[in-house]
Amino acid sequence: MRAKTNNLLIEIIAALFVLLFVYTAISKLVEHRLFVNVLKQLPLLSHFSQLVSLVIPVIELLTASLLFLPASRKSGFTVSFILMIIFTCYIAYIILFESNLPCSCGGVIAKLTWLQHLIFNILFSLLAFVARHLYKKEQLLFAISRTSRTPV
Amino acid sequence: MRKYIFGIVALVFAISLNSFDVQKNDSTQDPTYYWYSVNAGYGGQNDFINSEVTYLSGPLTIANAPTGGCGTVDPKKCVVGFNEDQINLSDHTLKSGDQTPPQTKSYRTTN
Repeated sequence: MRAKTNNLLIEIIAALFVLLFVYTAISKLVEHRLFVNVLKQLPLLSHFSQLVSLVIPVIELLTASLLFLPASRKSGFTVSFILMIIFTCYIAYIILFESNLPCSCGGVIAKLTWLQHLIFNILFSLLAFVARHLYKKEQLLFAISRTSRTPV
Repeated sequence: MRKYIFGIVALVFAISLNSFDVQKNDSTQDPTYYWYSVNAGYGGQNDFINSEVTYLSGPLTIANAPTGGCGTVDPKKCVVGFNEDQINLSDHTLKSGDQTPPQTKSYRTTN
């Protein structure tokens, strides 16, 4: 029963990340010119705006693919966690030093203030961490139940 | 198949949300401008020449324009937006003569 709940939770969290990454990646690609222009204003990224404007949505789509396929979901959660931590650190930097700049994120997420965005990212980082932890636990339970069926 | 059902729903939802965004943007397309910060000593007037402003970025909508660290209620202009036909796109300088910015993003207390 508990394993079933964990599996369901893992699938729901994976789906939430697929939704987030696919939605924001498509938004960035559809409004690519706007995305590049906003990136040009950001400190640290302005010199690489063209490259970053393509690399970020591609990484997001690849991560969504990893999460979509059950076989690669564990790696997907790890990459998601790392990505969310990087995005969160960058937002914290913006809030501390450049809070007057617009957000370079895609879709409705661009409407959030920097602080709301920071909270949103921290929540998703926690979700990725929890999902990865649950996944590990699930694999352990599966290994134990398989061993117990082995004739002694 | 059951393993993929949440993922498929998420994919469909993400694509639908995006097409909704695109439609919304098409119907209420905000105009974009080229944004300039007003140099020190020139915030009070309505028209500007090239030496009085410094290019920041563009084309961006007013919502996405930089504020240049200025506020929204003070009397002097701080960041202003020009139309594409008011600037030289090759080097982002203002075209010769006085140019009146159609948009102001932010203001400051002193010139």
